[in-house]
Amino acid sequence: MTRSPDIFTMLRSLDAADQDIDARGARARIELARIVATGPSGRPSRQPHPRRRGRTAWKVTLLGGTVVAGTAAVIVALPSIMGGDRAFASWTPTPHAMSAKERANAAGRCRQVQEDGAGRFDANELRHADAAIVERRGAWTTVVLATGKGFSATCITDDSTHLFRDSFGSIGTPAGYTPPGPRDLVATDLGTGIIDAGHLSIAAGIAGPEVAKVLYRSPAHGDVTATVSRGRFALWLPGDELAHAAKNGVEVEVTYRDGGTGTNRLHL
Amino acid sequence: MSNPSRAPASKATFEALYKSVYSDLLRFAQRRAHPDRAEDVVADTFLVAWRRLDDLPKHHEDARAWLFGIARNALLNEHRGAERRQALGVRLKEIPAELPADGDADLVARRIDLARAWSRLPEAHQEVLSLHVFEELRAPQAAAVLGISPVAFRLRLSRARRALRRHWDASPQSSGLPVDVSERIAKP
Repeated sequence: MTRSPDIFTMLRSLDAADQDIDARGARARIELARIVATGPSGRPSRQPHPRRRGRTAWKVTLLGGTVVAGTAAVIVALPSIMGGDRAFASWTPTPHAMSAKERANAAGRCRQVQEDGAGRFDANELRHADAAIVERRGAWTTVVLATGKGFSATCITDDSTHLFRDSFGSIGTPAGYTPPGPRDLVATDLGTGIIDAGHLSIAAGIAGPEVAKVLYRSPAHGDVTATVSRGRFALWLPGDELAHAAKNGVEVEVTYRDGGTGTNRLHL
Repeated sequence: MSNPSRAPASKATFEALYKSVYSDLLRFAQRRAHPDRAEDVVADTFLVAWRRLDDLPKHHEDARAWLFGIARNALLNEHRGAERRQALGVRLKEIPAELPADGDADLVARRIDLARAWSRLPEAHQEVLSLHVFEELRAPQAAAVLGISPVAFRLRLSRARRALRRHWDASPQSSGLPVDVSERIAKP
């Protein structure tokens, strides 16, 4: 059979890439701003000691604002006094991966903040916790340090400031914890909090081994994708739309490793 | 907030590079990564480039290839240890199952055959062909992406081209069935 002599010309017609990419689009501009806002070799690793103005309820200690969330968890909010992403302007519904070095730095900072603060009551668990989730949404970094026994420590931090970063976190182990089934989710953090940038809503917890993807369909922000990693899931979004989720539950869509999909209602 | 430790000229240089290569780098990622991951790969690549701005090649074509190389390494490194891949497969677009009413049936059939021939190539062959055909790199820049010499790249390109043509010539003339090349997507 006779073939066209120019195999490469025909190959170009099969290019899978988009031909109309806008390098000045919103995503491109946000990423550029985020990148040039970072330092070339990391930032000061220590943060100020958490300022606490808390109250205690059950095993949950709420510190710094009107934070609601957490199953047997301690919630900490660190206010920023040095600017930063005060209105969650850089936040993205889809998490971004981070380099190995950035991940290590972020996990180290979270561990340090927790050790200096509420985590001193959970020092042993914290010492044995690994970084299950490290993700970025705009200027905001989320870290979940976790053990295989249900313990977790979470930090959500505005990395656009060099000092006194706006920060939100939790730490603890669900009371009566039992591991989830292969396709189940167990929420450990579900609700809202308020920090300098405003209200934020969070859903995080433990994912069964067959869970590959978790998606929350936000009325205000569209589809918000969770990071699912090492048996944990975490998503958060600006605003208070999960204010009643702890009590009323909230539905998320789950994709399993075999490609199947389903829904799961998170509740505390 | 800008980074005070970077000279303004460096920041301007990086921003110019970002704007000039962003589209090409996103296409590079779209061909090799899962579509959902492509923009993340680009962001990660530029972040690494920003951190390593001192290593930025002077000439634009070399800088473009340097960025492709960073992206390639990032994708390869997603598979660690024994699973680490040596080359990135390159995906082609899917050809619609339905022939357009005014379409050239013979042309469509030949494209389907070519896509099938492509899917039979080893990832290493797909990679060198793509750098030449899609990224349109010259041998020195393509070689830099792969970390080999330009001579070695030309040799690999010649072998890959022969292999593709051999598979293409060996394939029966397609009857217009859709071809699924999605399995060649580089696993994120």
